[in-house]
This record gives sequence, structure tokens and C-alpha cells, in this order.
Amino acid sequence: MKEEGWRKELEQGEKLRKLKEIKRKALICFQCGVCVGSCPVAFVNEKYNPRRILRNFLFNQSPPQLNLSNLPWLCLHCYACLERCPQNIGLSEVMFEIQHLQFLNGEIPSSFLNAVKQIIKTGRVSPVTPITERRRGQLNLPKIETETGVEELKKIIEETGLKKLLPSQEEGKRSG
Amino acid sequence: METRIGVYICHCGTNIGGVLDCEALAKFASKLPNVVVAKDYKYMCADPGQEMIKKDIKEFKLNRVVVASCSPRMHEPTFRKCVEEAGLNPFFFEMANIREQVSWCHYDSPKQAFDKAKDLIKAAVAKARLLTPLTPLKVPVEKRVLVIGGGVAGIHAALDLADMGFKVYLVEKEPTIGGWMALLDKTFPTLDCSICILGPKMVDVAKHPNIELFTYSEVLDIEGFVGNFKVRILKKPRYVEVDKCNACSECVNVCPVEVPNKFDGNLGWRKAIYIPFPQAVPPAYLIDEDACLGITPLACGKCQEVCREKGGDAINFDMHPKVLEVNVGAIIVATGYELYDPSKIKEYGYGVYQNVITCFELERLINSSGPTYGKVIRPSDGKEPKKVAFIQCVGSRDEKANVYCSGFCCMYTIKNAILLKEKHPETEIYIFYIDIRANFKGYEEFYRRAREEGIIFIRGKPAEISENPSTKNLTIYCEDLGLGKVISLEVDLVILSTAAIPRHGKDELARKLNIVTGSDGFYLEAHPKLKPIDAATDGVFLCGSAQGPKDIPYSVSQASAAAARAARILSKDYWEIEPIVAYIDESKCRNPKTKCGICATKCPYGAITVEPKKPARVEPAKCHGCGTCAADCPGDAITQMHFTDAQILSQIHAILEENPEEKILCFLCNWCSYAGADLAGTSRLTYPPNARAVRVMCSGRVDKDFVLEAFRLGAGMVLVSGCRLTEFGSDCHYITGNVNAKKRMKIVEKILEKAGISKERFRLEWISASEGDKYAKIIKEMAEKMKKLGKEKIIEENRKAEPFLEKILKKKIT
Repeated sequence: MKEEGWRKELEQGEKLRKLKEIKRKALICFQCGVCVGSCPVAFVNEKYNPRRILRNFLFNQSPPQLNLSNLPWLCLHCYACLERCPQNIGLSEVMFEIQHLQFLNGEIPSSFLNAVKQIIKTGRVSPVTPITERRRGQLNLPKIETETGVEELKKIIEETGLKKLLPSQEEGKRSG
Repeated sequence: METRIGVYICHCGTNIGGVLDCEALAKFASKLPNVVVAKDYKYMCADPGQEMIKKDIKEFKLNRVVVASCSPRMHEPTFRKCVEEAGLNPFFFEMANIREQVSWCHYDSPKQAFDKAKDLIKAAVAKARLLTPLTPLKVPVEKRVLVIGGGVAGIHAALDLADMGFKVYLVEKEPTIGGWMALLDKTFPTLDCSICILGPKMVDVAKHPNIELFTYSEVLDIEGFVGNFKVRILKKPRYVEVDKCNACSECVNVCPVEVPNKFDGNLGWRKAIYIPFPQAVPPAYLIDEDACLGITPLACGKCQEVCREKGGDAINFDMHPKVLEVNVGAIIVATGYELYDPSKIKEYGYGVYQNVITCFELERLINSSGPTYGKVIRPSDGKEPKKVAFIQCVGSRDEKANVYCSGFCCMYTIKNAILLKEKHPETEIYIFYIDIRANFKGYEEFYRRAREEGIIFIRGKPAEISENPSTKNLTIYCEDLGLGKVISLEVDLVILSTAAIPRHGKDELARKLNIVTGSDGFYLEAHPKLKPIDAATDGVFLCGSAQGPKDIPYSVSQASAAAARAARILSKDYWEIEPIVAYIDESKCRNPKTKCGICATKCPYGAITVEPKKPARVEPAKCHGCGTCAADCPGDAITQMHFTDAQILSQIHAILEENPEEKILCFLCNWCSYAGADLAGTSRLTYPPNARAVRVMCSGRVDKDFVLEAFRLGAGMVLVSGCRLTEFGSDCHYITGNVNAKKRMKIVEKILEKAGISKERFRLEWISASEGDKYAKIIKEMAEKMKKLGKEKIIEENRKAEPFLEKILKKKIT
């Protein structure tokens, strides 16, 4: 219980710091739109508008609940936006920060959560399926040895405290 | 005296010689009437070419010289100088343009090019035969200058000229100099204290031995012309002797009358006896005649009593308006701007909602010598605002108010927002804008600084503001374009960035000065690119916001530029005026008999005066030589020197002597359309070689008779072209010459219709100097139409029209 309280306080502080940084960037952004024009995700998905996601932080955004959608998780972190931003804002990094905030709030898309769980369980982002194996065979690739280094990975994850941040199965579904 | 003409054909290396047989052209020229000698040479403009002309003038006793070479826009001055050196009057020279308008644009059809060159040489020789000697007019220059307006621009212009050693009369309407800048708190983007940097300059003006300062004064009237203006100045009574007043302020303490102080944006109060602000120059009080109880009849007089008690005796109720007269050689107009009244925009509620104020009111609130000594408060309750919104472009960029951008509002809003934020960091500040214009040194950085300091910029023009009647708070409704959402924002205080508008009374001053205002209402410069400081009238210069809204650095730069432009005149003993001016034949002028005065209404420079029962009179020093009056004079009493009716008609006759029905005769203005035709050549654009240009200074010079005479002589097509004229304005180098040409050519169209000339055979166009392609395109179109109509139809139309046109032109062709 004691540790929980300490952790919560730390989380709150971190959230505030991150929010402040995002808001600072939102203030500086003069809404030219080069980021959206350069964004490969926005190109195929018109719902994803990183400029607008940042702009939203200027108004009505305060912890604990961000109530953002899954959209920030679509960022590919290709850094094209930072490369071209005339004000050096770098939306890729902003998206990282937002994702982090959302993670702290438990607002995690289920697909992402599943990937995390998969990593913890198997060390891989996606499971090895019979289709994968068949295809590898056709390409004369060797079979995948299962569960190599998984134990070591689990130890690393344990150290980072990631597991503690993960919501229970039910909670995770909420924002999925 | 016998007319003896020498004609010189230039090869221009192979530029002309490669397309045209110059030797044959010289041979052709030698047979033209009055031509004594005709030669061709590789480079006429080079020294040996010029020497040849000079030698021939002596040897053959030449009294006219024609050079067929490049455009007169290129080398006319060179050859004028050359013949002058040989003892001829420089206006005894004429040029035929066989490079830009022949060899460079018709290299694909050398035979027809040769015919065109022949026509152009023939026309030049015909005009040369009728040339008259002209001498530049010289007027003496009064080495003094008048500066109207004592804001930051007027102050700098006055100081610059005074430092150069010229006597300056500085006239200011208000009781102090300093203008708007003296009332500001800080300046952008450096946040220098405004009065701290302007104050010393104001004192310099007062102390400068070469400056005579007239505050609380107005320009009554102005007569004369460049170098010789006579100005009458009205000095209003202050009722306080400036020399005796030591600004002790005892009088203010006893004065019983309080009125709103306009120098504080009417937010504070002042007495009937007052000083506009502590740093005023001259540093003396004055009595507001309308507010004072005592001037007539002497009913109060408390101020006078206390002043005498203190041993001052500065107050004098017997002061009267004084009229002074000064003579100056040049005038600088620095009358500045005013602010738009935002109560006209009802949806923002200025004047209805107490907590909606203007930028200037905020400026006074934030200023430590303002009504609240620098404390920004809400007018409704005197509390400091916690949430403030600025609204940009109030009355600017608005077709319903002022279409232009007022330029400096973005920056002063950012400045005031930063000042507010730095004084009270907890204040939330929002700026609603359409575009942020931060386009000079350090401005963009200043804009970024504002964002870094936490000021929120919202792109979107607020739709309306509503007031909460109990809290007097305001809610702004607006789309945030960045979000793509409509937002409503409740704030404590709204500041409107009102547009800068021309001064009240600017039209009256424009009439006195004979200058014009643009469609925005600000004074118009003589040329937007190359004469941005000169007004249309010679010797009058513009600087600062009188010419359009400007910030301080730009106003000061213009002030120094205006001082330099004025010094260009003042530094000379005599000012020379090009002699291609209008001249009135008094015996032909109809005004004495029939009250005409048309010429005076057409002149863009007010150079013509028409008094009842007297012939019209031209002031040559004011005339710019466009020739519009000459073209519109119903009695043909006006002649434009060097572009006389006879000279132009002789060119028309020469060009249309042979096969007129195959030719397109073009009347092109010197500054734009002729230059455009030259550009077509310079760009090596080819077009049909049957076009022949006659150069006039302005399309306003093209007389109806020129076009009618061309058709009477059987011309195939006629084109009249001037500087660009669109619904947005005119590029005319003589302000309104093309506008007059347009009106006149509408009448020509009607006459031609009556004469039975097909509509497509006459065309009026506006071609700028950069539109060589447009000129080539138009000539192509006209040539195609001419081909479509067919030679027979044209000849037939001309034959039928001839008696009708002859009747109209009777007086001219006899």
C-alpha cells in the first residue's frame, strides 16, 4: 500500500511534467500543417491528424483522464514531421509522450496491450502460427525455435516495472 | 530655313544587320523628302557612330537627325546628347525602332520585316520634319521646406533636412509634436520605452536652429509649384504664452472644468487648461477653448490669477488666430493615420459592453503615464483581468470596412500581450487572428517569444461576443481553425485591434496640395515601385502612415527617404522641367466664349487653371506631359510639345501611305505598352509583321481623331494600348491617363459603328511593360481577324466610311 502511494505520486508528477511539455509544444506550434502533409499514416487514414491531436492539448486537457482515442498510437515514429517542422516541435516525440501518458492512465488500445502481453509471454510481438512456419519452409528458412531467451526478457521487464503498470485483463479491454 | 535631315541606319552588329539589309534601308531613306544624307553603320551608339553624326551635322548643315536602331527607350538620351554636342537642339532628333520592334521579332519573315522597317523610318523622317526646338524650363528653388505633421515620421524628416542646412517649417495640428508614438508605452520587437527614444528627438526639434515649429496649427492653403510653393499657416490661439509658461501645473489645480482626455483614449480626465502629456513639446499648457468657462466672456479666470500670483503671467485671454505665410521649395506630407471606430462592428459590442476596449485604450492603460499609471484594469469594476482576449483585424481586411491589412496591429498586439504577460504571468491571454503578419527584422522571433511565454494564438475571426450582465464577463464565439471546431471562451477583458485609417480631412489637404488618394484613402505615391516617396505633384513627398499604415522603423526610413528626395530639389538653385509640356493656343481656347474648362478636369496634376471668360492656363512646372488635355480639348487649342497633333498625324500618314488595309496601326504608351512591345522583341517572340507602332507618352494622349484618321486613310486595324487598368486600379504613370483614354475610346467605338467599320477592327487594350507575350498574342489575334474579314471587305468598309469620317475630321485635314 505504501509503495502504491509513492508510485502514484511519482506518476502524477511525471504526468504533469509531460503534460506541461506537450502544452509548451502546442503553444509554439503555429498550425502550418507540414507534419500532417508529411505523415505516411495521415496519408492513408484521414482520421489521424497529429497536428490536431497536439492542438487539443491547448484546451480542456488535465489529468487524470485524457479521454483520448487510440489515434496517437498510430504514429509510426518515422520522424518525417520533425525533419520538416519549421518550429522543431517533432510530433513523433509528442506522440511518444502522449502514449506514455495514456499508458499511465490505463488508456491502452487492446491491440497494443496484446502485443505487450505477447512479448512478456513469448518474447515476440506476434505469435508464431502454422502459416508462418509453412511459409518459412517454402522459403527454405529454418524453423523458429520457441521460447529462446524468454526468461531473460521477463527478468528485464520485471526490472523496468512494466508489469505493474499493466492493467488487469478487464481494465485493458475498457479502452480497447 | 530649309529642313535638312540626316538618317543613320544602325546594324547593331548582326542584331539588325543579320535580318535587314541596312544598306538598302539607307538607300531608301536617302530618297525621302528633305533627307540630305543617309548612311548605315555597324554601331551607331559607339563613339565612331556618334562622331559620324556630329561630323555630318557640320558638313551637310543638317538640322534634323533620325537614327534607325534600337528602342528610343534605350538610346534616345544618348543621341539627344550627341546632336546637342554638335550644336543642334536635342529635340531635333527622332528615332526609328528597327531592332526591338523589327529585327528581333520578325526574323522569321525578313521580307515583310524590311517593309516594316521602311515604314518606321519613313514615319520618323515625317515627324522629324515637323520637330520644333525645345528648351528645358528652369524655375528658381526656394531653399526651405514645409513638413506637415509632427509624428515620428515628420520629426525625422524635419531633423534630417534641418541637419542638412535647410530651413524647415514643421506644422502640427495638435498642441504637441510626437504623434501616436509619444502615447505608446513600449515599442516592438525590442520593448524599448517609446517616449524614452522619441522624447529626445522631440526636444531636438524644439531646439534646432533650422526648425521653426508651428504646433496647434494647420495648413490653410498652398499655391505654386515645385521650388516655389507659397503656404499659409493658421496658428490657433493657445491662450498660454509658450515662452512664459514653465509648466508648473498650478493652473490645473484651480481649473474647475473637467473633460475626457483624448490623449488617454478618453479613459481619463483633464482640465480645460492642460498639457497633453508630461513630455509634450513645446512643454507648455494650453486652454481648451470649447471647455474653458472664461475666454469669452471672461467669467472664471482662476488660472490667470494663480499664474500671476506665482509671478508667471503666461495666460493671455486676448490671443487670436494668426495667419502666417511662408515660401518653400518642397513639401513633406507626414500626416499619419487615425484609428477605425470599432462600434461600427456591432457583433463585438464596443461601446455597449464596458469590458470591450480598443488597442489604443489598452496602450494608455499599460502606459505608466496613462490614466491608471500603468495598471491594466477592467472598465466595469476596476479589477485586474485574469483572462484576456485580443481580436485582430477589426475593420481591416474587411470589404465592409477597409479592404487592406493595417500592417502593424499583429505586432502591437503581440507586444501588449507580452507586456501584460510579463507584468502578470498568471493572466491567460488569447489572441484571435486571421493571419499573423510578422514580416520585418526581429518580428517573427518576437511572435515565437509570445508563444513561448504562454500566449495562446487561435486562428479564427470571432463571430460575436456576448456579455454576462451580472459579471460583465464576455464570451467569444469563434471557430478554432487549428482544431476545426467551434469554441466559446469566457474572458474578463476583450481588446480590439482596430484598423488604421486615413486622417480625417485628408481630402481637403489633398486638394490644397494637388495630390491624390488611392482606393484605400491614403495618399498615393507617384509610382508604387520607383517613386514610392514622391507624390503625384512635383516637389511634394510622402512619408509615414499618410501613405499607408506603417510601423515606426518603416516610417522613420521613409522620413529619411523623403528628406533626401526633397533635398534633391532644395540643393539646387534652379530646377529643370522636361519641356514636353502642354501649351494652350489662347486664340483657339473656347473658354472665354463658351465656358469650357474640360482640360482642367482631365489634368491629373491640377496644372491647368480655368478662370471665367479667360483662356485656360497651363502651369508648365506642374505639367508632367501626358497629353491627356491635348487629346480632350474640343477646340484643339492644346498642343503637347514634341507630341503635337501634326507630328503624330504625319507618322500615321507615313505608315499608311502604302497598302493601308494590310496594316495594324498601334498607339502605344511610352511607359507600359511600348515597353511591352519592346519586350516581345527582346524575348524574341515573333508576331505578324504588319503591326506598326506610334509611340505616345500616355494612352491619354490618343486623340479620337488619330483613330478616325487612321481608318479614313484605310487602315486595316487599329490598336490603342496603355498601362494596366483593372477594377482594382490603374498602373498609369500619369495617374488617370488610361482612364480618360478608356472613356474617349468608348466614343470612338460608337463613331466607328456608325461609320460601318466592323467592331473587331478597333481594339483597346492594357499591356504592361512586362507583358511582351500579351502584346504578341494580341497582334496575332488581330492579324487573324483581319485575314478572316478579308482585304476586300476592309477596302469596301473603308470606302463607305470615308465620307462620314471625312465630315467629322474636316477641321483637322484641311
